[in-house]
Amino acid sequence: MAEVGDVILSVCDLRTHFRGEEGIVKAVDGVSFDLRRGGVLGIVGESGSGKSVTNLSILRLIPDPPGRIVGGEILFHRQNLLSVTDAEMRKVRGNRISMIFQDPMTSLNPYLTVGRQLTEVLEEHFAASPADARRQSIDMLARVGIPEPENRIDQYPHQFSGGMRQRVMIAMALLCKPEILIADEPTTAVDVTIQAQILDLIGSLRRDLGTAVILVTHDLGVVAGMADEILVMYAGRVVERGTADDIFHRPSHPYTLGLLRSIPRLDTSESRLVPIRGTPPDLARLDAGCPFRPRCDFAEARCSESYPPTRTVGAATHEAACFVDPATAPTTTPRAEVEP
Amino acid sequence: MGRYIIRRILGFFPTLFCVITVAFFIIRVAPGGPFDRDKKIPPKVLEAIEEKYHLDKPLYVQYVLYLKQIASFDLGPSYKYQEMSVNEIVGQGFPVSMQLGLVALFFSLMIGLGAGLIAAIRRNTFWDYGSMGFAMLGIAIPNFVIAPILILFFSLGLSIFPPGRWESWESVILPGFSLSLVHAAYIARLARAGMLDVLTEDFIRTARAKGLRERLVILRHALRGGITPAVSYLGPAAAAMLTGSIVVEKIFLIPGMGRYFVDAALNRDLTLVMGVVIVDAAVLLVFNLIVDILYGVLDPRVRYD
Amino acid sequence: MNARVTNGKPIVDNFDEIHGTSLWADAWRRLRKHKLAVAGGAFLGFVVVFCFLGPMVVGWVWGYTYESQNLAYGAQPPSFAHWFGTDFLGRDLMVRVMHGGRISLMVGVVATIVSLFIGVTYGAISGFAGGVTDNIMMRVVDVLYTLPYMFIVILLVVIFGRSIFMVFVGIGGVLWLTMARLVRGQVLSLKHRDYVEAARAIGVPNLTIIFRHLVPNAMGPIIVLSTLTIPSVMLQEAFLSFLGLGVQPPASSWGLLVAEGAQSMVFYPWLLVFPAAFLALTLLSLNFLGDGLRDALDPKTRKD
Repeated sequence: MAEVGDVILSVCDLRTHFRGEEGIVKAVDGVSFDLRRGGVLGIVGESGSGKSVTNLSILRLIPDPPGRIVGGEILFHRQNLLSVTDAEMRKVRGNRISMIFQDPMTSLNPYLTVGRQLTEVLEEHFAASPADARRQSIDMLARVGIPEPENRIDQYPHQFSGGMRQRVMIAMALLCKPEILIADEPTTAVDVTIQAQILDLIGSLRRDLGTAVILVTHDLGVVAGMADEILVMYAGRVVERGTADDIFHRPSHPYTLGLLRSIPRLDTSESRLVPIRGTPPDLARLDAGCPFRPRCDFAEARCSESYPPTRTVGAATHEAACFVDPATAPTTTPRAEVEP
Repeated sequence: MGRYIIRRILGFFPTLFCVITVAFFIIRVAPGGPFDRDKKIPPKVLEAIEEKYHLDKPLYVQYVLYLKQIASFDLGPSYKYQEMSVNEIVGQGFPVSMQLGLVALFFSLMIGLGAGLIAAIRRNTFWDYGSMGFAMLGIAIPNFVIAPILILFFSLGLSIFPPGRWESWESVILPGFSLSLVHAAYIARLARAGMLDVLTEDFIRTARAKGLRERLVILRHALRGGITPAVSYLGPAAAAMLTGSIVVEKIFLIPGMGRYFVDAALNRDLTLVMGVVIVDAAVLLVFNLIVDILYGVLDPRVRYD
Repeated sequence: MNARVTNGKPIVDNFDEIHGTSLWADAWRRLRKHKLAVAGGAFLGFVVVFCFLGPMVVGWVWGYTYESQNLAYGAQPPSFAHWFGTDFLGRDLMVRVMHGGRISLMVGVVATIVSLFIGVTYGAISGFAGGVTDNIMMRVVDVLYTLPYMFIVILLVVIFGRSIFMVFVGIGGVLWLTMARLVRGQVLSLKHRDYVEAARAIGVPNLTIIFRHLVPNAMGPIIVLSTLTIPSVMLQEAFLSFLGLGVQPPASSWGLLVAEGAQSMVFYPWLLVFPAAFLALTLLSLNFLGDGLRDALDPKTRKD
């Protein structure tokens, strides 16, 4: 693994809210984390947990209205991205911080050739000549594993398969050799057989280019082998953070425990999968208490009174926002009673 | 592409044949003949006229005779304008309607696309509400109200443009503008809706995430997809503008196709009605083809096969 | 959802209980939030009452009808006795606007209902049948589309002469083409849904499937198109009246009144302003209502 260096991105108490029909939706409500040069940060959570909104907030791509970043700081090399001008922000996007999206089918423009969509990044950020931009784009396509890049660069996205399109997206994101790559569920919409290839590709490019990666996923398995640090998000907040080791071997938030129990594992003899009961909460109707408590096996009376404070578990790197420690506490709701 | 166009043009003929057939029989089934109203014509003369135009023969014979005539691009003699053939009448009226229509098409595209794009880009601002308000008025106020107001203001009041007739280049401005308004209104609404649709697409977010300037995001990434709905409206709308608006031609005293058409229909001038129907249908087919070709230019996913 | 309010803050007790709302209840809720649509609906309600009950009230209070002439009192501007003024024959313009509104509204509704019946039936059968039948039925629609619209309308005038209602039944008979295409498209996309396959599997007759399962599920777009068809028919009526082919005096319609008013707008502007305002505002209201319904019934394509 590449050397992990200084902190280059520091998100402090980020709050992004949306005005919905039923009130204010606090999609991201007080998220903080640091990303180091060359490091890999995994962000895990269900849909609606705020992980994608967190990343769109970093690049200030939240559609306004209805969304708005209402608080916090995003320090990129100690400069707060939330206070720079739009023009300065554009110089960061796609150049120093770039992003790849979940669905490669819809994230590429169907009306333009792949080449046009690649070269415009270089023309925008480096004022590259058309010939130069084209040469660099072909090199990058070859690097992400597109065969015959000289021919395929003139084709349209619909002439590529799903996995190939995601490779094009990655090439587009890495053209300017960004310091940070944000990968928002890069493997969710591609075939299972392609998923591993895409992850390997991101991993090897990270090693070669020294790019730091924020890997967003709802699948703990995806971040297991790659991430230095993992954030588990629920209802717009970070409920647990720690190294992969911490999260997988000593899950300290009931939600993390639930996530781990609900993924199939090959390394244990336990064959029964335990789903998390219930559904994610309506973010427009949260109260002061812990939003996970209706689904929690360890919920107590105090959980409905206030949001639990963050406590350190074992190592200094490992924190969880829960009153109880699921490793030692008794369950308050025996599972047999709640399952239908 | 070339092969596609040729195939489509060949495909016009069966459609036109169907249109001619349907129109022919509908007209003949409608009550009244071309010479019924002229009570002055003595029965003997009427018989002679009807024999001359084959109106005494059974319907299917008339139909076959008419098809033969059409096959040699002859639309026949006009029953009402005895001294002229339908070809001559269409040859006089159609170029006038077409010039008027082209001016109207130009206005409707400029106004419609301009207003629609501004409304979409400056969404929920004064510009949006202003252009959409005008678009709604354009749809809701009939042009026989707007046209006299324009005449009142620009011709009688400011004396900038002539109030009517077909004499100089200025005389096409007011009628062209009146004719364009309702289409401009629809185009504006469709372009706005189309742009707003495209601007929510994932690939627009990608373009912004790449750090492109907003101008490039709009012009390069959003525009093509955004105007597609307006383009599909353009086929029938352009055909309608080019084949002459009865109302506008009447108000501005323009000798185009629209005027003849009403007269012909009311006078049961069967050959002239058929002639106008055929020309209008042909223009519509051509514009539908142009729109389909435009689709392919705009969207590389469209295939011609 | 059980929400208890304490100190002004709702406290949600039970997250598991998901409250379901039906499509229609949901659409109604969204429609009520659409200000322009609500305003449009309210104005339409007012216009209907004004046009259908108004003449009775006027006859009772002032004692004249849309035909009552008073040549000595011709072309008077609005006054207390004649709120909208009078026309050249001294007829009260307000009663004529009311009366004309009845005809314009009824013409719009009648033609739309006719187009609805033919279009929905034709489109649903074409889409459901598929294959060669669908192909032939749609070719027929294509050919009819190619016939110039004014040709058919003027022909209808020739055939039915002064019977304006038959003319608009006929116009409805032309407008069904768009409705048929819309319904066919909807049916094509719905007919392979599981619930339709299930109905077929248990032997439900085809016509029952079409009218009980497919058409109700395509109701949203059908309602929206109908709401937008009414104003376009009313405009058609106005054009025909302008050309002297529509409603014949002494009967009136908004189109006829506007056409008459446009000819004398310099010296007698009220003859144009009142009928034109009613026509334009009604058309606007119907368009706003149509837009609101589209947003309400199809939340995915919402624009505002």
